[in-house]
Amino acid sequence: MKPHLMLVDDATDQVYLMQMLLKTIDPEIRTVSASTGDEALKILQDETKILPRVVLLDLKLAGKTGLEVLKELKKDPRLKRVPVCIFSNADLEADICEAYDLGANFYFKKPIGLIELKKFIEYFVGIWFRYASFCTR
Amino acid sequence: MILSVSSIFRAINSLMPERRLLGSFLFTFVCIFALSGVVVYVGYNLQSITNSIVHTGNVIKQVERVEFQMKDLESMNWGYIATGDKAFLTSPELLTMISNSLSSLERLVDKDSSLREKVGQLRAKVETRLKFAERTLEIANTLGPIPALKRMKERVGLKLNEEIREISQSIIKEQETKLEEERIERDKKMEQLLALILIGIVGIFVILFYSYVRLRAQIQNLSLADQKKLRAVNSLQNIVDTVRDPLLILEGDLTVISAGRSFYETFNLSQDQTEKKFIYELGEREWDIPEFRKLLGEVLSKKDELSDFEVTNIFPQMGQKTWLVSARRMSSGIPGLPRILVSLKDITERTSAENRVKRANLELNILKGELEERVENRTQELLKSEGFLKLAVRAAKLGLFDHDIVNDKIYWTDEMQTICGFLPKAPLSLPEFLKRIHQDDREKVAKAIFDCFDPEGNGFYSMEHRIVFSDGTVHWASMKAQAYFAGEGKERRAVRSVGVILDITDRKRAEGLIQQALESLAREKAKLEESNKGLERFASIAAHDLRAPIRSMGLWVDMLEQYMPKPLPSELENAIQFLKLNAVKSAALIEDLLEVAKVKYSDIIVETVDLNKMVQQVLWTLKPDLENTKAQLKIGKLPSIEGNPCQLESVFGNLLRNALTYRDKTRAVEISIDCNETEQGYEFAVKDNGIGIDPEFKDRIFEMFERLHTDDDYPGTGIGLALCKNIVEGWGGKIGVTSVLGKGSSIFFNYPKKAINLERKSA
Repeated sequence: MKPHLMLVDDATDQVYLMQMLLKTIDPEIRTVSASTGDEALKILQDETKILPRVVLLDLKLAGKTGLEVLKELKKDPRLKRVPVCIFSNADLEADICEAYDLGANFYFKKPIGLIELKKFIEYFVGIWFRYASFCTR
Repeated sequence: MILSVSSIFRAINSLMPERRLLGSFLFTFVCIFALSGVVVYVGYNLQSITNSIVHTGNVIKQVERVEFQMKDLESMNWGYIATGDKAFLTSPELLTMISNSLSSLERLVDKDSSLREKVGQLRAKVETRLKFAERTLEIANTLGPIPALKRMKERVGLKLNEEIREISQSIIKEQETKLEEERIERDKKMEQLLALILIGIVGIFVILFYSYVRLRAQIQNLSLADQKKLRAVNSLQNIVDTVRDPLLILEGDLTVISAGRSFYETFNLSQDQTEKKFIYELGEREWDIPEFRKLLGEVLSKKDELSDFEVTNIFPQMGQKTWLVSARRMSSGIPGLPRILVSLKDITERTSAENRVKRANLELNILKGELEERVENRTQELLKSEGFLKLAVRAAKLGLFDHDIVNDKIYWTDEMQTICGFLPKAPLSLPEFLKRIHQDDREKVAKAIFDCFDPEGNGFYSMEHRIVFSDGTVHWASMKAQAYFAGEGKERRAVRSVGVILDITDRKRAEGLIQQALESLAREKAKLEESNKGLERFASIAAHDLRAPIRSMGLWVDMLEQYMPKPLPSELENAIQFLKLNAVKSAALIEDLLEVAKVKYSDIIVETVDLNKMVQQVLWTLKPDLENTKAQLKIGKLPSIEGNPCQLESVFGNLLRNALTYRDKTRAVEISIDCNETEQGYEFAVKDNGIGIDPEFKDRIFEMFERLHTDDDYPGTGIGLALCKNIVEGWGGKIGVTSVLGKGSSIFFNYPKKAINLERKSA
């Protein structure tokens, strides 16, 4: 089974759009999505399920913020090696610094415009599903 | 002996004055002496053994000799008897020799009783043998050789000889044993001696080495002591050089040994002219004063010091000078040769000052007379002016009071009655006066008054307080008073205080009104600021929340455009384009608003900003636009300033973006940034060759959301320049524009060196 990508974003249309774009780029990549932090944690902490290859996490979420979710992920010994990329509309320096302090692998500002977004997903998928190596233990 | 030893000690002592050195010398001497004593003793022992060996050897030799001589005798007897040749007759020499040998043997063994006995036996046998031989010879001479031979053949002689041999052999054997023992003992002693000599040599070496080390240390100590002395002499010279007053060091015969630098400078003499000269020869014999010479002589012989001897004389290049001379005897290190330290002090001015004081006293007396006269006149004038003073006090509505503290009675003028409104005609005590003061102020006023009576303080007080009139109305008064003290030390206390009182009710009322107005104003301002802040916060949050849906809208419009089946009807195509345009515009507006929020409401960090670097950063973010427009940039040298990097970046970024946006599309874009440093701060100018601004709208460009052009011509949100103005004015600076329509514009702003709000926020 092909590894999958987890999207955490409270804007469902964004998730839908990403899934659409992903399909045109590599139809084999599955996505799992969560609209709140708690939902994302629940899915990830379920030991019967396979861990995603990478989590694309929005910062502005209803309930737990993205940074809080990141903090909890990195505390969990089973989940701490799952790569987390922050995907946010904002680019406040304080947020960026805190995200990296908490162990985020990347901080991406959401690109503006469809063309840019598509380009970003292509690069992202290329890096995480083709070139990157992972610890499987 | 004792005398000679002590004289040696004295000699050593004179050579080496250091006592410790003498000790080590003596120790070495005693060691060597003891060692040689032991060697001599052992040597003596050895000698006696050697003597004894020689003696024993002699005994053996002598015994052997006797034995041989006896054998000779025997063989001669045989020879004579056998041949009849008289030549074989026993010679008297042989007999004498035997006798000699025996007696010398006896002499040798004289001290040894056992040997003596044996030698006695030997002698007896020898004598018997000799008698036998004599008898045989007589027989031979008288009866002829045959009976002699016969007698010989009886072998009596041989037997005797045999016995002699036995005795002598036993002696020899005994002596040889003794010899052997003695040899062994000698060898042993020899070894001991050798060992002793060896030990002695080693010991002497050790002692010599030890002495050498001690001696070396002593010599070093001595040379150290010499150096110390030298240093002491040097430091003395340094002291003499350093002291500001001229100093001289004199030998006992009053020649100058050395002088301080100050002496040379003061008297303009060189070292050659001074050193080794008699003091009274110096210069032009100014010091040749008989009394001075006598006093110096006394310092040498009787007294230890001479102090404060005044010498007044005319010195070349200095004129008349008075010198205060002090001298003190000091040790030169050589007994019987004292030195004198002479110090000189220029008291010319003091003497003249004393004269001046005398003169001044005279003048003072004259002045005193004049002054008394003047005081008299002044008193007259004062009496006149008192009248004026009374008038003035009345005009100013100034109440005067005089407090007799000792009797606690307060006297006052009529105005005081008006001001306080309640005073009876009779004088009042302080507690009664305090009763009339408003109860809220009473304690404060009482404290100020009693503080003013404190003899430690300055005796002054100044108060503003309320007074309650008998009709119950409250009035304000300002009171100032000065206390006067009498007595000394612990007895000192305030006896009187005099002061003024002024009605300030009207002033206080006005002040109260102003205070009220100010307070309500501050309240309004705080309320306004609070609501402003709330609004700003609201705007910021709204902008943040709006950003995501607006962007999302843009994305979906793009999706629509892409996935709609083509060709579209033109109405739909237009609708999509308008949607897209509005989505882009609102996204830009939101971004600009967010920048405003970021620049204005984020924490103000102040740090050193290198503007050259910062402008390069801004240009990097504008790279696509710069490349599209092929803009020519001219950036002058910019300073490093203390400021908030976020705000500075925003200002330069917006101005550059502005210049690029409003370019004249018919010509190549040229943009320049310049900076002028003035005393107050920096003046920056961003200049372009764009479309320029109509002078009519010059002020409007800095207003929020104001636009001079449509989006079709020049896209924009109308926030950039407004934000720049906001930031620059926040620093306490000014922003403005000069422009020629169609030629270009130059936006200038200044950055004060003491940027106001930055200073406030970083403090």
